[in-house]
Amino acid sequence: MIELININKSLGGKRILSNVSLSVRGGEIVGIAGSVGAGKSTLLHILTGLLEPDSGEITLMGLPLKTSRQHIASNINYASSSQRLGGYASVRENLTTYADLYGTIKFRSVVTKLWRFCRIPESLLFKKIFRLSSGENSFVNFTKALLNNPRILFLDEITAHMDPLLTQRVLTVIRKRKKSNNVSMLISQNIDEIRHICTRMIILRQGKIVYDGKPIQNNKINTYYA
Amino acid sequence: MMASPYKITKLTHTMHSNSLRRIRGLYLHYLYSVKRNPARIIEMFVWPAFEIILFGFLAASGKNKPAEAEAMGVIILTGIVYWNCTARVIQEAVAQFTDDFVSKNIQGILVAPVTMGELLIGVTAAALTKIAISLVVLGGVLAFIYPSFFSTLGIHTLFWIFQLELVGVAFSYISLAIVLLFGERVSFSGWIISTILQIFSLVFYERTALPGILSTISYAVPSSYVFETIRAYQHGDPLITTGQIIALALSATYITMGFGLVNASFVFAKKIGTIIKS
Repeated sequence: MIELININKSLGGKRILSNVSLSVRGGEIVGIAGSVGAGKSTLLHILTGLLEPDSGEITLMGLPLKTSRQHIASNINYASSSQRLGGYASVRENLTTYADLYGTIKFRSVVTKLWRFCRIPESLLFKKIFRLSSGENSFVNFTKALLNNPRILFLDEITAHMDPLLTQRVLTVIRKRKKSNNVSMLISQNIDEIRHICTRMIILRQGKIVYDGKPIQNNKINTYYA
Repeated sequence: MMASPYKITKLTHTMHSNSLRRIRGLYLHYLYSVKRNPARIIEMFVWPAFEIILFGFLAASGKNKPAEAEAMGVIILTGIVYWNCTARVIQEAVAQFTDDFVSKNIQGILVAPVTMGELLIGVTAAALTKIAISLVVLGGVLAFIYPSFFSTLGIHTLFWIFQLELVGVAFSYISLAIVLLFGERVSFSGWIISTILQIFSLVFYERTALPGILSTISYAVPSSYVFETIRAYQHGDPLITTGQIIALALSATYITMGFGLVNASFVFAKKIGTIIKS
């Protein structure tokens, strides 16, 4: 589903990613960990097409990202806790906008199903984005990312501001995607979270993959972070 | 390229049939951005209304003075009213776009299957809608302050507004290309470009008023032909059709160039990381 071959990226004269190669199969939930500045977000930005690598090849769903971006974009989605949708518009207006961008017809049913499961009141739909708490904002971004039922979902610290109960429910939603052979790739600083739902863990250090395998325990992580 | 067993044979969505829907989504997104934003509403309606009230009274007061003073008042008022059509399009388009950079919403938009053409159409259509609403409001204010303004210019007003908005669209693309390259820190580019453009647009003076090279540059600015036409018409001269054709041709050229520039900036922005740094 995802193939990366020798990806290199430098920004502002600093090497961010070095010869990153990766292959992800359908149904995998990949957790990306690593210390601050390890290149985690850069990797997701490259995979979403927001950033172009200096060299290397990227193939998503069998299509080269460089030449088939628009085709791929319909089948992937991305959400980050640091992102805010249109501030003065309501949650509903923003989600309607994104439903249009993805050509989603049954947008309301996607929202109703997800929000009911996560026990989020529908009154949140009418709240303005700038009035949302950080946790609510992350959840709205997560909702946006599921609007097109993406084959590949990229999440950057999406649960960072959510309360423990909502985090549990969101993680359950991510885990359920596995059944449909969809891929989820998430960055998290919470190793327990990665261990809880991920089938695979990748640790980046100074732009290189230093661990790629089954999720490991918190007390073993220091070896790879140092 | 290595073959993948997961290659998708049937895409979930039809690309082109959804293009109009994506444009609608972007259009609504940029309209929503101003709906409840007091700062933007003041920028769009209140300041231009104050300008028109101020210079409308100035022009109206000239009626009791010698003909030259009256003419000067009318020239200033005409310049203020029509220049709004160009400057506001540029400033509004840049403000909308910059808001998305500040909130990082631009990342969500650019991850979606949106083409740069669709994004530009959405931005432009929303900016033009806002300006149209703004012009109706300002026209109402003007009709109250200086009732004879539009009646003396007649139906041509609509065509001039259209031409000046085209100039606004062309130069807004250049401003958007700059924002794509440098991010939110150049949110002032709309103001800078519209102010520089105003010098060469002959809004308040004749082409001969500009010295040497500046006068030559003004020939390359489409709005200069429009303002010359408006002034000539106000003086009772026949409409300068050649000038208007040149203005249209120049605007079309700049829109095409601007579109290319935005696309080039986007490619470069993905290399230097402007979009992710927003």
